[in-house]
Amino acid sequence: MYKFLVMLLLCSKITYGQFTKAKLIASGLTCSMCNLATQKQLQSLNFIDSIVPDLELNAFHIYFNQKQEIEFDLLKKKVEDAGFFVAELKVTYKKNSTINYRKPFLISSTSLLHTDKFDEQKEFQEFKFIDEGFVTAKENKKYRKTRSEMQLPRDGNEIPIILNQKIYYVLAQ
Amino acid sequence: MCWRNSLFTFLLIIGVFNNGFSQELFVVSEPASNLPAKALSMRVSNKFMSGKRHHISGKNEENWMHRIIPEIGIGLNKKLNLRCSAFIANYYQSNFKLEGINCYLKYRFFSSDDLHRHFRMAAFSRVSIIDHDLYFREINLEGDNAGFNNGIVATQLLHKLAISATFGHVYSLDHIGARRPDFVAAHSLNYTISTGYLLLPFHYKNYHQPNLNVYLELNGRNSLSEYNSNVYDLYPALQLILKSYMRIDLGYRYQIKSNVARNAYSAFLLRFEYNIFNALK
Repeated sequence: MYKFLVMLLLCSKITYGQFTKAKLIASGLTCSMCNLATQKQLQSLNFIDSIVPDLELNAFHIYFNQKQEIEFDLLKKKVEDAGFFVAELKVTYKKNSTINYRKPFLISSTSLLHTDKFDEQKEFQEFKFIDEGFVTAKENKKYRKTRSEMQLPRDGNEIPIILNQKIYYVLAQ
Repeated sequence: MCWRNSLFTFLLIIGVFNNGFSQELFVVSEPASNLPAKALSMRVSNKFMSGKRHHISGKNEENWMHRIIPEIGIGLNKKLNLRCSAFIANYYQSNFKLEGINCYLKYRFFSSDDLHRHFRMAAFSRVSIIDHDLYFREINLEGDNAGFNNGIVATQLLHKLAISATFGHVYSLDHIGARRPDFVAAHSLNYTISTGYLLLPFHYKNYHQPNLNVYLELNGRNSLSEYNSNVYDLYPALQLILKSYMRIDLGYRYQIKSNVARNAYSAFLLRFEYNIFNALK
């Protein structure tokens, strides 16, 4: 396993860094009571430090606890537990180092994001999740094609298998 | 008919001002949406009216009657809700007593959400166990009759406007200590059309802003037996949401039409609700 990992790291362009914050917009919300219910659900996650809501837009500005592993699926689960859905998730990524690979990936703890492009000059960049469940039903149809175009190479060293991580598709903003 | 025109005008007015957010915390019916998973909702309602209590001597006395309804709602998971309530009332005797209990289970099976709007459908099942005598042909499981009620509810949210429809079948049961007489139909239909509109605030700034919602709901109940019973009630209501977790409802029941004798043809509703999100671990 480690041999594979080392081989992969030697020939990859993987960007290491941290997800510092996120903007999550929920859909189907009805009132400030629903916003509060959603925020309370999100606050129960240990990797979230603080949340600043924008009730007018049903948006939550989430600041991550850098010491904890971020699980993006849990963000989705908590919004759905409150009775709603994720309409948009954008994360801000702080770059630490880059290793060359033909496809750009972002790695932080257990999360692996497959992005369409990465600007190596920028320290902070924002990425929008385009997986099903992280966009509205309408947008999901649109992004289905984008996701298939971004498909990973099927030649052995697939990062998700080696690192045992779920892969997310994101677009640089 | 007059009430039809009023309802149409109400819908038209709220349709014109339709933008922003939406409200569906209906006062009479339940929306297809659920309590959040692990949330605990505590309510106390008082349904009170000045009416004629049936007296064993045959003399009907005019009284203020109260039905106090403590209720607990639990979000079992994101799709399944349970509500249990008790009816403590002096509707059927001059002293207050526990007149019955009621449990309501709702399963949301369809959701189509978009920004500031959604369409949802849910199936529900309710059981009421009642301990008082039976005098009236009118059938409702809100404290007057024992039985099962199964049905579906569909709710559409369009920004500040919420519209919901409920359709259910009621199977009446015997009461504790009182058999169901023939004039109380075994099978009946119960349906509701509800509209809700967010009046205030115009713009959300924080969780402490009070929300003011206005509701208009129409409830129809028809028996499916030779003992015909048809009841149509209109419920206008105002609702105040405080600090985004407390709720006060003030409602009024107005009978549009019925062909049965009732305790009273109009009644008031006062309700306080307190929600604890993430109450259950």
